[in-house]
Amino acid sequence: MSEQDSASEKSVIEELFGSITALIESQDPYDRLMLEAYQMSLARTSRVKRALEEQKPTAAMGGNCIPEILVAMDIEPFQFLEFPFQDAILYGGMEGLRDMVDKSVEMFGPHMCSFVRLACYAVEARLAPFPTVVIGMSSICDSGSAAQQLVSNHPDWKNRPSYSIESPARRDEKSYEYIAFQLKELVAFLEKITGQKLDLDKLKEVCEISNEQLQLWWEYNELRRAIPCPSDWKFASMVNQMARYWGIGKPESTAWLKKAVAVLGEKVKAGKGLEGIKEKIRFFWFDFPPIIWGDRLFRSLAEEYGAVMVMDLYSDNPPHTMIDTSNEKAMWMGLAKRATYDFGMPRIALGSADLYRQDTIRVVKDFSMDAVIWPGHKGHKDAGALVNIVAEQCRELGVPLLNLGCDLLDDRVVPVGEMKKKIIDFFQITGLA
Amino acid sequence: MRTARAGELLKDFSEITGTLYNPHIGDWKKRGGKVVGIVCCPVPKELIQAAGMLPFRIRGTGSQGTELSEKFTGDLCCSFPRNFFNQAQKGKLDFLDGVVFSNNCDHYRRLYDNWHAAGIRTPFLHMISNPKRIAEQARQWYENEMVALLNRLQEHFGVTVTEAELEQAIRQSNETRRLQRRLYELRKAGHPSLTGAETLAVMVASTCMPPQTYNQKLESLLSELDPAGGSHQGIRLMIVSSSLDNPVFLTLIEDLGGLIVADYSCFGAKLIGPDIEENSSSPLQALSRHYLTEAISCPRLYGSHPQRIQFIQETIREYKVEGVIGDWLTFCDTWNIFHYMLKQELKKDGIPFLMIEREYIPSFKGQLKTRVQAFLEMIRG
Ligand code: SF4
Ligand code: SF4
Repeated sequence: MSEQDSASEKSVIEELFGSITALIESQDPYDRLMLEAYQMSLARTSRVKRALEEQKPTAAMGGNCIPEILVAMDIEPFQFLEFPFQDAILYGGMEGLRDMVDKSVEMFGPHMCSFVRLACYAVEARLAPFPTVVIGMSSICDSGSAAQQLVSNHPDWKNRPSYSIESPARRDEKSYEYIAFQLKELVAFLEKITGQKLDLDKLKEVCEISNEQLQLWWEYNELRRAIPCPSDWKFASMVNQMARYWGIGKPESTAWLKKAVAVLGEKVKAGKGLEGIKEKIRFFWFDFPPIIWGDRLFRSLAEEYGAVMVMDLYSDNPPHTMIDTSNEKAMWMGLAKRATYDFGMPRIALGSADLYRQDTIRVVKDFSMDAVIWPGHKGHKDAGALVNIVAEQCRELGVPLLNLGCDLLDDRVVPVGEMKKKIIDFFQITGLA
Repeated sequence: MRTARAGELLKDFSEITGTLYNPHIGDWKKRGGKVVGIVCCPVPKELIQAAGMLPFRIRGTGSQGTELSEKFTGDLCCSFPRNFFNQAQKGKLDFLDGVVFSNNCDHYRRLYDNWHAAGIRTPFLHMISNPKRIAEQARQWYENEMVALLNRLQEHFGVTVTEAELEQAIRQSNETRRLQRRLYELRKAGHPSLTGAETLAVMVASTCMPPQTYNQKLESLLSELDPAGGSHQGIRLMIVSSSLDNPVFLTLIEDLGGLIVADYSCFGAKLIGPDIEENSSSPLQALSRHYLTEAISCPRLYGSHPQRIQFIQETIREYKVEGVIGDWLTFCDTWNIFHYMLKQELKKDGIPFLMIEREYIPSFKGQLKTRVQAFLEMIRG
């Protein structure tokens, strides 16, 4: 039976998140927390859907770079692709999603990032809900930037108010000033369109909560350094969501993060790794994790070979910008830096080769990595052109690097079974397995 | 009609374009002149001219493959930078005294790092961060980037650039624009006196030879061509493309019965655009305004698509275009999406559109040829 067949036999939820029943039945505090996070995530989805229905201020985003501002202004952010994506899966299962991917390929060909391509398709096929405003990042990657133009040229979207933030191709005070200027311009734009006013005290409060959340995220990641690693990538994604996306500024997310740090701390004290896994190989996944097929790949690698994905670029925790809220200028500069330098896609896509080198060194050393896997997502064309530079760095560090080649969304481009075989061969050739 | 002299001049332009190190560069270097490579339209060549150097728009002409590049660029990189990077690694761009890179696209941007990593010993390397949105703040950023480039050029090459020299460079490049506009006017004739492939050769030459010599040569060519028209005929096509620098590709289309009478492309109409403001109180401000908001915009620039689509629609009308070919290099997301948008717009206008996917080194066999033939047949009705 192929990987794909076995995937379609499971329920979609199980496929993506593992057994929810097992989570519900488990008394393990780690599992309980995971369940709580899923519940909070569902509550947030309902909240945004309600806001869309009731035409309360919402913002569809192409990049996730400024949640603090939106939270402070009571504007619900959501990702462009989020709802069409969820609907496709909920109503059509994996096949529904694959059907959508195929249609998007018919429109835009196979060479584009599948996330952007699906977002474009969702707009073209009139599947995406209308937000109050559209916020994009015109510099994050070529496809994202072109997609924003496509959206703003679509007859249904032409007149939707939109704003695009641009981050220069370098990092210095001047760049942050440039971004800070745009953030302030964005606030003026949002105030005009939504009628919501930005209260600077509220922004300060959100920034302070967010600082605390990032500190907790950092503590959580410090615990992941332990051998064996006490937490898996799905839990880490939830930490990321709490600290960086929909949980920002929310006291309940802070409470959850505190519990996460405490629970993980206990696990580390007890020398416990992942349930049922005898950790032998620790690897760094040098991109964001593949939510659709990640569980299939990572779980089987861990179960069969003791190979644990200890860190990915999305859950990575570079030294974060703690926003200085003592004065307004410092606050805007901190937000600017955080928006484009600290996390996820902006950091990955806009970072210099040196930043990639530094991240490689830091993560490999801090998390005692045995190997680096470069997924080679076909959307990340800028990053793809850095693989040799990172490979050189890995050679210097004495850790092997595998350039896998995949599509982080569509597992038909390179099937999971094929990826797994490549990874196992790589472990064997390098003497890790 | 076309005179024998016109034929010679066109042959000359085509020879200049057919190689990287052309005789004009050789002469320039022999006289001690410096040559600085630029990678895309919004790296303002006028700054390099004003510093007394020759701007050279980098191409991959003559490349036979990308075997040296692949290790660095991975396999998702557009073949245009992949080919010129290969040429650079083979030493074919060793005549460059410097290269100014830009963040024009994800593929170009990483070449800056890889140029270093590959150990290519170009003495001067600089990266300019071009804005990707249109706004006054972005223009100011861009102006500051120009100041930074000028400072580095002055520092590295030990030259001083005055405002008068900047003004002179602007005047000279406007002169080129005016001449090129006249060249494009000739293509409006019912039977133009030059083909699309010939026009492209003339245009590409402007990116790789001293501007003064180029202007004189183009002036001579224009005086030899009859504005009333010539003998070329075929289905009147417009080509919309990015890094199209090889006239052979157009010859292949024209041999099938098409005639490229207009374009929107990086080595074509985009080089012309409107004049840069002369005698402005700040030449750098004029330059940044020109490249960001006045020049024919690139799809990389957020918010510029209405202007771009309008330019293409007007060109179709003015040049009596019967069909549009959207030329696309594999892996280029920017142009992939733009072509999709353009197709929708042209559909509304009833203009036939054909998108061609290709690699930088033109090969025009089998399916592609059949598709172009079918497209031309469809227009012929
Ligand atoms: S996944 Fe990569 S290519 Fe896709 S939108 Fe994000 S940055 Fe762009
Ligand atoms: S064709 Fe596209 S990807 Fe290639 S160099 Fe030009 S803009 Fe970049």
